[in-house]
Amino acid sequence: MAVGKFGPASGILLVDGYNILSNKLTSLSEKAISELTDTTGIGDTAYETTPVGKVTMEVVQEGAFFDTTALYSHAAFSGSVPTSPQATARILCVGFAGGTIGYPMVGCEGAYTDSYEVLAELGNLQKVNATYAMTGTRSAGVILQPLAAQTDSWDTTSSPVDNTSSSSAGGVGFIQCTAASGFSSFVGKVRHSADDVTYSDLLSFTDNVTAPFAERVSVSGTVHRYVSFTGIISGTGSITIFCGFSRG
Amino acid sequence: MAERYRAVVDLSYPAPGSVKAVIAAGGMSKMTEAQRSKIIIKYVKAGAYAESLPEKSIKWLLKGGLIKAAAAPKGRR
Repeated sequence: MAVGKFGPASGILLVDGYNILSNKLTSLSEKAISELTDTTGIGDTAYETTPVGKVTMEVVQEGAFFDTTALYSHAAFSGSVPTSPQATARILCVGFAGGTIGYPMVGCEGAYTDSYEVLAELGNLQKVNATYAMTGTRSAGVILQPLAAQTDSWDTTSSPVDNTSSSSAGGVGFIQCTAASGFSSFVGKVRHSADDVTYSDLLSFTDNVTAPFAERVSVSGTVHRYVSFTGIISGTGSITIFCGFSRG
Repeated sequence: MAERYRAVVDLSYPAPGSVKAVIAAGGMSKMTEAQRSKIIIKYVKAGAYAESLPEKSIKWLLKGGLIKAAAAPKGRR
């Protein structure tokens, strides 16, 4: 991974297969929050807190254009503010270091668009602000497949993410599809290898060719040193895919 | 005859004529595009026999339960 500073061009925000950056955000933030408890006791001379081991996240985006074009902001948010306890959580991936294999991303198990604000003002186009609150776990990981259009089956074994060793606590894969046409099937897979010679399936995402869509799949057990992404396509067409993976 | 293995999950690995080149390069990711264009990758579906697996991969695949030793098919020894 490149070491250094990153600018606005390096932001990533994908929610349920919507590329939110298409709406020209002017601000994006992701805040990880560790829950602390007061552990001060009688006799302590100083106030004391201890993490309880739960981390949540909040994502805030501001200044996007209000746009009723298909796949833009109105479609992404208007029906997604939860109205009941049974509301479906969204799959969200965010990043700040650019869309390159091996660069950091964060995915969350589920996110609710807990606020959606449309603003009108004189002398300006209508704007949209939205916030996301997390449910489940926050998974910090790396990009295996940057958002890109593909027209044939492909894999990234030429540039896998090298963790330098295996890990034993499983992992979580995130896929986001922002556009798809023509194909009769598409299966994305995260694959791993101990030797960078033979690769085996680690997890598979559901066959889906109806964009936008997103999915989170978890796996337990050993994740070998090298991790890559494979897309298996049937038919003729185009599909635009992002994939991230977080080791447990 | 070398032992046969059955894939438990989908696998991909260089075909016998390409293994040497991949290992000499230090792995798939260390190969140049020109080198990669010359190698043949074998794809094996879960449940199928994984013939001609690279020797160096067999140990970790077995340990991880990603392949299983399989009996030789009837009629063969």
